[in-house]
Amino acid sequence: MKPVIRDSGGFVAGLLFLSVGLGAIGIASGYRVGSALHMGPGYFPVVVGVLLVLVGAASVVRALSVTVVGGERVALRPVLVIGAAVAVFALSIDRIGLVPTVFISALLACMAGSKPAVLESCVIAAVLSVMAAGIFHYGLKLPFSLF
Amino acid sequence: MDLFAHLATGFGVALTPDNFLYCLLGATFGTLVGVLPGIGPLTTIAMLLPLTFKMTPVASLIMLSGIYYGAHHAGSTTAIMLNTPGDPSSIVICLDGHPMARQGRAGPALCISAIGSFFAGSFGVLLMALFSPPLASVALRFAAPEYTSLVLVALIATVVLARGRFLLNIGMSLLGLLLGTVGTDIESGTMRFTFASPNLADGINFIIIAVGVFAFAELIANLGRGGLARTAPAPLRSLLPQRSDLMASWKPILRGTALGSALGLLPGTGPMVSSFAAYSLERQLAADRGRFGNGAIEGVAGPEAANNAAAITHFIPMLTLGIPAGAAMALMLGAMLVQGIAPGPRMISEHPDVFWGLLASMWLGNLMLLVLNLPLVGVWIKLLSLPYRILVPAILIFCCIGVYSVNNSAFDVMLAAGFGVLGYAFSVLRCQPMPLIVGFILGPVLEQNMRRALLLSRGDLGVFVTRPISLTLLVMAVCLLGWAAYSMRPGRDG
Repeated sequence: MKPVIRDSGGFVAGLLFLSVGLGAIGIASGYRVGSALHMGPGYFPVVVGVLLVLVGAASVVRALSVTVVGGERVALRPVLVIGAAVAVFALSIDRIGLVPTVFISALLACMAGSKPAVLESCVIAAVLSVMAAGIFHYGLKLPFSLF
Repeated sequence: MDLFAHLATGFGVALTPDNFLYCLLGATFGTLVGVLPGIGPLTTIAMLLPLTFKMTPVASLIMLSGIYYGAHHAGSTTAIMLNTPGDPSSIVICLDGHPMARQGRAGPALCISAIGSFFAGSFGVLLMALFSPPLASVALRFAAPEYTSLVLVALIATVVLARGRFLLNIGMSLLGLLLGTVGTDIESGTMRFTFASPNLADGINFIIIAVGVFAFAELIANLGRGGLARTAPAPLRSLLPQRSDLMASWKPILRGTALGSALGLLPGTGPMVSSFAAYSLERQLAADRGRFGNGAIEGVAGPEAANNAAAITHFIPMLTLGIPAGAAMALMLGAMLVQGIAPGPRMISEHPDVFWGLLASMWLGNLMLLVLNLPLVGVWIKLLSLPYRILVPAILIFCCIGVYSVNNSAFDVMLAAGFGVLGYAFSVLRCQPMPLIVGFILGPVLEQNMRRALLLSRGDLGVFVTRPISLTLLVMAVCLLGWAAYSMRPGRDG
């Protein structure tokens, strides 16, 4: 009989655990592993990695036999847009300063919903920029350059 | 008596104008996020953590814990008025609270839940005052082997008792342990899993993971569900409960308080599990079960008391043993470490002002919530008309600035973006982030103690079973695992 994946969530999660576990064993066995008496830096990660591989494998096997109904549909737009908004913040904060960064990043975050209104988004972004400057630069005196 | 002297110190600390203000601020903020669906105490604590670094340790803890219990206090308001739980621990309040509101009894439901919350919260604080010092003095005698076993029990209890599926929970906990090893190994100086990046040499700051897997992932998940639907609030007439309501509620409040206080102590359970357990207890005990789901006041009083008692006793393992019983406590523990205070058995004697000040502020905070919430119900309901699409950019920006300001590092923000996407993937795969963050916090503690224990025993693993406390703890761990395996037997969704 051909194996059928009955629980895709458990299957993917199992694969994730399995691959991270294998990766951890691969990398950590490069550190000194040592013995139980003198544990090296590699000992603990290798043990955890082995357990992770076992759990991952068990989860994959279980996903072939136990049916789990339902599951969430992946919402691609919010993932990409929210991810991008944070990434843009990370890339620009050291280059163009707090106010423009907050404006661009907030504008992008407004686009994550299903029907963004352009004018409203601009207003929200502008208000947040002013608030961020007021609270963090002038209020808490954190070392942000404004522009 | 000693206790009164300590309490006097505590109230002395909590009643200084600054700390009182932070308590009020925390409780108010907690109420706000407790009322607003889609932003919970975890997101808020993660978001505001960096802002607290410049406060004194006491002030920051007072404020952060105010957010936590405040949110649990207030989550029931929206559950009753709108059938929308403000936070997960008030899901069960919807079952009977909202039908009560539909029958025009919103006032009594709100009032009983406020009284129940205050009673349960106060009882939790009392338990904390009575039992934390003895618990800490027992724990003071713990050496490395006991600590290793204790952390193991905590980790296993977390994966067994947490929501979600057992196997996936174990996987998440192990992932957390691995993430905890990133950075320079303290004993050998070896760089582990840093991929030659100097940004990872000090390890991953827990705030990055918290903001990523809680705040960002929650934003994405909520947006993916098409924002949050709103219903019209039920009418609110008189606030005062009738005599019959009080008579029907006092026993459920007592039972809920007892149940919640006990469950709050266990790693992995906490307020949400407590409120569910209290609801089913009340339903079991009821003479007429048909009333449940149709506005039975016992179904509001019991769970609401349980939820708030647990929200307080949840702190006890963290403050006395250094073992966080849930995700929020893991964040609090992280906040204390940043402030240079290591929670654990020594904290009560070394930083009595912090411990007793926090304790006193919790009682004051509960009092404030009782006084503030009821008259302001109308205001909180108004706030609900704030659309989620405005909250999204605000939460995102606050989180980004927060993460950045920890180390002034843009790399950290990028890493948080990665953890956000990963956290969303976890939520799609139905993997709970809670075991991950607890594993991350406890991982280094486990590794260090295990190393030390085995060094002292000359590599003999027997050290964990020959010492009585350690053996007891390990037996508990095995029992928990056995129980989990039993409930995972074929035919059930483990």
